[in-house]
Amino acid sequence: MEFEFSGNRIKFSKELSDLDRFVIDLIKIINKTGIKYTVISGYIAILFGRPRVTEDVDIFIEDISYQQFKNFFGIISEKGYNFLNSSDPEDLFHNYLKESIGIRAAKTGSVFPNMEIKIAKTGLDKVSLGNPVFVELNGNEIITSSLELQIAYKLYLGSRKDIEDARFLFKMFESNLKYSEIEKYAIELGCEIKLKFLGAEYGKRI
Amino acid sequence: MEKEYDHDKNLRGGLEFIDILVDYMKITPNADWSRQQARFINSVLRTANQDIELYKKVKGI
Repeated sequence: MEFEFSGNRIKFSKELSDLDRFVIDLIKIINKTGIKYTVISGYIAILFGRPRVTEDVDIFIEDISYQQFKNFFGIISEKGYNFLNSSDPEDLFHNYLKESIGIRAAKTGSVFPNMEIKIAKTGLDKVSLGNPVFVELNGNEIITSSLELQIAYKLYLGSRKDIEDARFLFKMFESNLKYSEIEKYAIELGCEIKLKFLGAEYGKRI
Repeated sequence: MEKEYDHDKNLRGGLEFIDILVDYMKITPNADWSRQQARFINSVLRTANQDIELYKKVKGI
């Protein structure tokens, strides 16, 4: 697999899976609303080729008003998606999104894959949103956040799957990463002891 | 007697596999690797939506 790096842009092409198509489709809908978003976590390793499946694609959005959400709800419903949590936009907005509970969008009649949407609330959530990395996949734009932050965050989460994702991203992009940034985020998350899981190459650079 | 699950050993095995995988991916053309990856993902997803109500119950939704 080859990737073209230029600043905070990564460009590549590949055969799309049903999961990639699902993400691209939903992002097109989000783009229509003008809501700022960032795709994070497990799907990013999959996007860059890790052969695993995820039940949900995690995404942070900026803090939005009810009117903005209602507009999003209307467009997403028109396009054949629904929310698994509730069919009432007011319920979804006030009792889920605003309470920091993710809402899950899926194709009507199915649950897999689904997109778990949350409002960026914590400092690091907002750092994710404010440090976009623009991925151009077969001409489609997917916004994610700094790979350094995603690697540190995966280490922080700490399950075997998460640590493997961190190692995957690190090894795949080791020559394009800022090691000091990974370390900075790991310290912020209190998981610097887990940096050893990134492997020997990481050890050589620090 | 059944052997106890060794978390560290399993994690080490998993990480070694990731290294092998990435080394292989780096020398494999995008089209070839992604075709394989897409087939794998599609095969799982296309049989995944069997019991929607059960999933919702498990997830508390």
